[in-house]
Amino acid sequence: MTQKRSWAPYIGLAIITVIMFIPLYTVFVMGTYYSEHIFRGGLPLWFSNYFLENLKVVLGNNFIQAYLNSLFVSVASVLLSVTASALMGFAIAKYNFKLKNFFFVFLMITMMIPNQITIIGFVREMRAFGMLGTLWPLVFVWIAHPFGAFFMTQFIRDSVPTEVMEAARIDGCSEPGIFFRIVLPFIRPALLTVALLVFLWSWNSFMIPLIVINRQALYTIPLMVSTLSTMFRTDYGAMMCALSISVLPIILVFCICSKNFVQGIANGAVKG
Amino acid sequence: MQRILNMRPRAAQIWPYLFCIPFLLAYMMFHFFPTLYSFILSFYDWNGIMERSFVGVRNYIDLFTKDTMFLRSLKNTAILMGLSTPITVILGLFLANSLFHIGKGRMAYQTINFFPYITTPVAIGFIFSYMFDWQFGFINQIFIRVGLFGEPYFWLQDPWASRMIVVIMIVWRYLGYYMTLYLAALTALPQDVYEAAKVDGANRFIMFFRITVPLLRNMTIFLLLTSMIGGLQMFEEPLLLFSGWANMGNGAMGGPDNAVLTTVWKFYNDAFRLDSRLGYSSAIAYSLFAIIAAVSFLAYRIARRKGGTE
Amino acid sequence: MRKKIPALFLMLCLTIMPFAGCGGSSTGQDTTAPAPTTQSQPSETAAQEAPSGGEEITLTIWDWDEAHLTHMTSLYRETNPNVSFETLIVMPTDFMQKLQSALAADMDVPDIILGELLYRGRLFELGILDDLSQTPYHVNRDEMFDFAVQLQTGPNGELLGVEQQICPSGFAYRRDLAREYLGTDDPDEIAALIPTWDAFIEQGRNVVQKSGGSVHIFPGISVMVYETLKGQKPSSYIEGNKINLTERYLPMFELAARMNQENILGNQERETPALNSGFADGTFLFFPCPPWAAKWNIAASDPDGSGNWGLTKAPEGGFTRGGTSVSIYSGSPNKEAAWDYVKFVYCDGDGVKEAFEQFGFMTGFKAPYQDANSYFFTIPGAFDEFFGGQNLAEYYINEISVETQGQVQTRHESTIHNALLAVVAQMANDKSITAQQAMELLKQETATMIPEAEII
Repeated sequence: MTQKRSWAPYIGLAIITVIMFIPLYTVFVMGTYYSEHIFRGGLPLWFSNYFLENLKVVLGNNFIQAYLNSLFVSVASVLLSVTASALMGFAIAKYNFKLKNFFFVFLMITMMIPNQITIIGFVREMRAFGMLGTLWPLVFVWIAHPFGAFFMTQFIRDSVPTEVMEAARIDGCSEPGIFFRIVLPFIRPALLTVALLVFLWSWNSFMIPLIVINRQALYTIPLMVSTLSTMFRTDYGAMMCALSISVLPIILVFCICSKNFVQGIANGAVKG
Repeated sequence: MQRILNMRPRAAQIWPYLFCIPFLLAYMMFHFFPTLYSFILSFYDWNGIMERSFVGVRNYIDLFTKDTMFLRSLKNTAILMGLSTPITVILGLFLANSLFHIGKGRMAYQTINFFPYITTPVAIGFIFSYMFDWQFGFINQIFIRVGLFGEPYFWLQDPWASRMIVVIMIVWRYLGYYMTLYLAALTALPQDVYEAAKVDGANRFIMFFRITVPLLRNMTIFLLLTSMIGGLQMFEEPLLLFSGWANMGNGAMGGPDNAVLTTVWKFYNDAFRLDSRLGYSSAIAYSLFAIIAAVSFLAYRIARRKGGTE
Repeated sequence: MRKKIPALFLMLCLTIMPFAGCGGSSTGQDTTAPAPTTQSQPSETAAQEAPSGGEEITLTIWDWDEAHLTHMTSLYRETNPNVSFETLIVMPTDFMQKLQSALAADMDVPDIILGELLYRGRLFELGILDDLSQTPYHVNRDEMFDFAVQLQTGPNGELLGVEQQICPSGFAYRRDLAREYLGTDDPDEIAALIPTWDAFIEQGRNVVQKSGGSVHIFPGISVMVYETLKGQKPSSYIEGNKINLTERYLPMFELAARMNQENILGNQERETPALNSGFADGTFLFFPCPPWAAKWNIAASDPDGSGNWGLTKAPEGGFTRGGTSVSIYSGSPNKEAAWDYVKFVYCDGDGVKEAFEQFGFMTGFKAPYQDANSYFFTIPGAFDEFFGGQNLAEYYINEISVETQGQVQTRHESTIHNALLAVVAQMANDKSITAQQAMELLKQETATMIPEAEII
């Protein structure tokens, strides 16, 4: 009987999963079509023969440069943002200090500010810093992302056993030592999660690059994709081609991480 | 909250502050001053070029008394958020729970369900406009083939259909993300509670509602709060849905009868796309912030109070 | 198992690292390396300054037509080696947002600013463009076409730009479909078949009847109203906050509602993929076609259709569709150099001929067309062959432009464009909407968008 019952979730999940999967799949399929042929009716489910032509258009549009720019922005954002969030989250979750609650409320409030509002002021500031000819402004906006710190706080509070930390302290471990040696291994899944999210957000970001970047050589992928279309004919084929190439590495990295992600929680956090 | 590192000698008390410094410094530099700048702007009338003139709170008064579009955008945002948040959270929890209990293939399911979140927003906008297109859309084709419709329906010219499509977009996009976070929380739950419950003869259904749901409270509060905050700041999905061809090239129009014009979208329109009223649009953003803060505070209080009875 | 995780994470970092370094260094190079188009190093410019005599200048231009921009700037540099260009590809839909935030943030703003019709009214009212009829430009309005002067006029009567290329429009048509449904593919004979909109509607009925509804005379209501009728009979209906919508748009809606009710229009609406594929699929006969559309709409969407297209006159005279203004930023430190480039490419320089031959661009100044032996008429334009060997320039100038008027662009005009599009979308959805209902809808939309307006 238990055997029989266990099929239901599989099927239900399978249906949902197909729904989740098809759109992204069609992006890849559409990338192999001549733009106008995408709209011949029906959902294109199998690859066409126009991939190389689309690829030519995409590569002819400085794709490699844009790709490297995006990679630099996203990797730098991830490294800085994860570090800042983890430290902040650790402090709020595991210490008692005067401003603790203030900081926590502060984090919550900052999450509520629509961040589009900062654009003009931010650009003025970057200009004052002389940063406008570089990619750094695109990195800076992600360092102090309140969501990351908030997530870290929640995660550390719930899944790092205080007893282990106290034991380490009794053994003479310094505070930074506790963070690096005890806490970090516990929160690896959270680190991965925040890293992945920041990577995605910065990778897909369009508004800030649109305003800040004033040099063709500094264009990131979303900007470059927007220039793929001419004024009155959007080349959807080439667009989908560029998007699928740009999303492919993220999918691969995610597929690799995903495995370690859950295992990390199962093996690391629970059994300690 | 209860388990906190024990007190240390004074010298060690400085560490938590030091740990906060990188984040706070970056926040002050890259967010706080720009935010303050636009707060000051919200009391001015300024088009970005000419001399700015101080108008006090007039921008705010005009917003709530004269600008019917602003009030409509608040209503739209509330509708879209109110529909998408509960659906996504509840569905995410169920999905994570059933995924947690299947042994084999969990990884594949989990990975694939996260794909929508990875997909580039531009592609999402494209695909949904494509599926619901009037002329060649997949959805219309299915309905016609099944015989439900005689002729194609113009989904994206119908206010409520447009709203529903935006909700579907959001649920589709974020479900995998919610599911993954729930799954992460589920895996971290102590298994011995379940063992004990099993010994007591509890079935899966009871265990889910009596053990899993309460134990996941922190995660649920977290997801609800962030989803509400994110939902009230929503603009990417409707904008993308209508910035393609669905509005016949009229990307600044918030869908049919402005039915999916959200507040942040309205902010964009007034600041950059339809007009250049930077002061006024800052007032829009700060009004929205005040509303978000009030809503979140209320929601948080309610969540805490409910939890407090335990 | 536990050992594996940090190892994997490390591996991941390591695989990404080299890319990161790569990205970092490559961007680092770009900021310092004196690529020909980017800002050059001061030391180098100082060295070059003495021999060439001319001052080293960098002009910033944002444009969406990359091919034209690259070609013309490098051509200009052949004779003006002291001028280098900082070019950026920005789409018309993003242009205004980028420009405005750059202005508000005191960032570098392009020396030469383009104004697509989409946002031109708002651009002109920002007060950041130089009046080209004043010093040091001294453009004489009489040397420009009437419609060009009207389309380039600012809120206080200034002349704020020159035409990137002229936009008076006729109807492009597919020759095979014209032969099939109208019995001829000769431009003059077709023009004689549709002298008025009534005759056009009559022909529209025929096309639907003969094709059994698979082909229509025109793509769709939005192309008809927004891309065609709107640009045909301009008037100064906006005075400050007084907007006489009825006078300006009711006749247009009456025509549009009739076409809708007669069912002569297709379902291919503007900016939709359905429209794009319609060019090659042959689902409509006519398309509103200014010179630029030969490239951007027709050749781009029907790449295999060379020779199968023709150009004729629209019923009741020429109209303007789209178009782009070229203006000088009043805050530019290089006004004279910028103006020299604009003159070279768009007014009367050598670039005008080159732009015509290479890209089919036609200047908004009358002088080159006054000579019947001008290269505009003797050299085949870039798209003449595509249009079955028709002399497009000749047709545009002598048949269409003479009777075309342009609509003065203001901020309210830009807003009304948006309102109009919203109404048109509803007319596409519901073909039973009458002219009066459409008028009411337009008034409502306009009133929500411009609360201070007095609408008639």
